[in-house]
Amino acid sequence: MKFQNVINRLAVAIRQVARTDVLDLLPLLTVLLLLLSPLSTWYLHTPLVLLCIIAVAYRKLLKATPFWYIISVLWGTTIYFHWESTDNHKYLICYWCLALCTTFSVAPKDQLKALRQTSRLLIGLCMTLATFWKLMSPDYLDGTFFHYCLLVDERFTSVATTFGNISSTALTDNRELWELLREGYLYGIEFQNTTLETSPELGKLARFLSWWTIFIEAALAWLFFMPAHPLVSRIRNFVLLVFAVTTYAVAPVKGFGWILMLLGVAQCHNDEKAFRIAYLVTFLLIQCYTLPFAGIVKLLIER
Amino acid sequence: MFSTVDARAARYLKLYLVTETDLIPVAVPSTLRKRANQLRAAPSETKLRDFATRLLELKWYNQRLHREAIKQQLLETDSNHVDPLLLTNSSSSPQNVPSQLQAPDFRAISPQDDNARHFQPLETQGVRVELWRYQFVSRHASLHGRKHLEIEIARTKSTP
Repeated sequence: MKFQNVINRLAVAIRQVARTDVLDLLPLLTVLLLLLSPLSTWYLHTPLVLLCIIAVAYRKLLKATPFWYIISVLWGTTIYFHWESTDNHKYLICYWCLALCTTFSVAPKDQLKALRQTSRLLIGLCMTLATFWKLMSPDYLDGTFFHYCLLVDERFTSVATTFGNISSTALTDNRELWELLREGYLYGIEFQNTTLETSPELGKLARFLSWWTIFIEAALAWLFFMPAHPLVSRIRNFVLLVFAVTTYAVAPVKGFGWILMLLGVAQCHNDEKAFRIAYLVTFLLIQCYTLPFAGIVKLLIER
Repeated sequence: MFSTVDARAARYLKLYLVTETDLIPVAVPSTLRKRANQLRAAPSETKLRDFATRLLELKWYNQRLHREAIKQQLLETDSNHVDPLLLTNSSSSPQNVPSQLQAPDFRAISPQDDNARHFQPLETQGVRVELWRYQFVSRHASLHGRKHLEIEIARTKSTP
């Protein structure tokens, strides 16, 4: 009963949030995203956090061009100083902050249209470049890249053990071998080649993931550059949601998923409230994906 | 981009201190971690030389000997108090220990660091930096490492 109440309240809250003016909602959600994505340079992160807190208290700031300009500069400067280790989605967040900056610099009657077009372009370009790089990488199309990720990248452990017929112990051993290949020389364990534990199912899964990702990213790139039409709009929203729900279940990269969901909300038309709600629900779902489900299920069974 | 094995994670460094008799493997010091990441992200001869030059400027000491000195002090005094001044007079020579055992025990200390005077640094003739990258062969699920770039810089008389 209590759980039902929580779900009901959450549903009401999401509906209310979805009814809020996009120009009020998106800057607030962006500030939330910025606060949840800490920067690695304290002297840039501290002013950014302070500015975000002030803006939440004085909401008028959230629609001010200079505010978003300063935020973009702080975020962009951090990327400049840490280019070697900055995640891809942080670049997208920077472009998004610049998009908000430019949106609030145009006349109020054009702001919604500007925001919608910019976010559509950002999604389209992001997917186009992602598809381009995948097509250009020789080790992507034959499944090598995903096979490697499934064997050594910790973020893929759940999907590898669930669908790849490989034990978590084997994956831990693989990661240890990978670590020793790079750092074994420090301990007198120097080797240049190693064979990882795998399974035939994992190879098939890798090929499926490679082609599924390239298919859906190419479809999104195409759909988001298509001319405006109600049917096209509905299809692209649906495909973007399918992309987010499936991709971030396999590779839980919260930051990328969240910024894509914000862009999804931003490009929705006024009559697409259902999709707006769906994007917000998926925003929460991406956070849920990071929960240790296997551990929770094990704990419940043991009880 | 999330599309190829050949990214920063697949490139790794092997660092060695060159002594009169040995090559001592050492880990990337924390002060050079950012430069190491830059070198791995976009490898070049220039970055490699710059990294090696900076590595050469550091002093190295044997942590294990210091830990042993602390242990010895505790045993001798039978107390829970350790006098840090006693640690500055470690007379053991790090070169006498086989390098493969020493490896994780060597730690860099910057000459500008105030603590530098407390430690007896290792005498080095130079440094050797190797940048490796591995390839993944899906058919055999195997990783193959190969040397991509390398440099060895000898300490000149003017080098501090």
